Amino acid sequence: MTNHSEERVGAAREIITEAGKSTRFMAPPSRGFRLLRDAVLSLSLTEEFVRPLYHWRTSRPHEYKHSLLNSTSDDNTQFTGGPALGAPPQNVQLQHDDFLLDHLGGSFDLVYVCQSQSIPNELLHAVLAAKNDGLPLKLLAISDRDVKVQGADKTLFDPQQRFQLRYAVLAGGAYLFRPDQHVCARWLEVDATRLLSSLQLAVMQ
Amino acid sequence: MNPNPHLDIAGLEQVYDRLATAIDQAGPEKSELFLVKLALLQAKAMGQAAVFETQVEAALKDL
Repeated sequence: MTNHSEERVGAAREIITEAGKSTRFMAPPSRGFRLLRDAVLSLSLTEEFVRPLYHWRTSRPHEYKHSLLNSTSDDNTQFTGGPALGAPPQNVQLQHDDFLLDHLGGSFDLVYVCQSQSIPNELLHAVLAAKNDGLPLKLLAISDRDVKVQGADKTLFDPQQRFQLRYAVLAGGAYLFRPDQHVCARWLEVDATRLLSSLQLAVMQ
Repeated sequence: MNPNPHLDIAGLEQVYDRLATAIDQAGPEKSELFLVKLALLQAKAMGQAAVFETQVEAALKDL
């Protein structure tokens, strides 16, 4: 409950900031802002890229950047791209008619980028231990080969390695998603200890 | 330099705000001059006259 309140206070603050931005769009405070507003409105009829500029509130879901559920034992700050801690997931088209978001949600989801056909034993044991403790957790293995990865609840075939590209992660790295699909931990190289402490932190709140 | 740069929404918002304040800084007398200078610098940075031409066409629409 404490965490829910913190997340929503953050969301409320962001909405107030966003409202300031839309006011600036509706009632430009200076000649410069009026020119920009008019230029964007004129461009928006043919140029799609400017349209999000006047849909601030609807264009981006709130990022729970300071959520208490966010891991304190991951590699978040070392990532050079991809959704950060607290952010909603980005969808990735894995294959024709197969999207990442079709597979996430309803439980904690550990998405692990596989190099070979198997998952390190230590990591598998950690996932099993968490499941045995009653934690709703799915292990999704991403592979660029069309194989069934041993020990994974599901193998996602990603021949173009689009997940790796969009999430800025290589084989051995992983993202942990909350049941509401927001990111709560991410590792360039995941290990059992840090996975378990992150899961523990997320469910204790 | 990144051969395939992508301006995300946050970047676009930053450009929006900076352009607005720069136009104010230049003032009503000089803002047109400022914008033309900026357009020439942008064309130089882009390095392609043909792309500049399509951008001119896009900007001329719906004035």
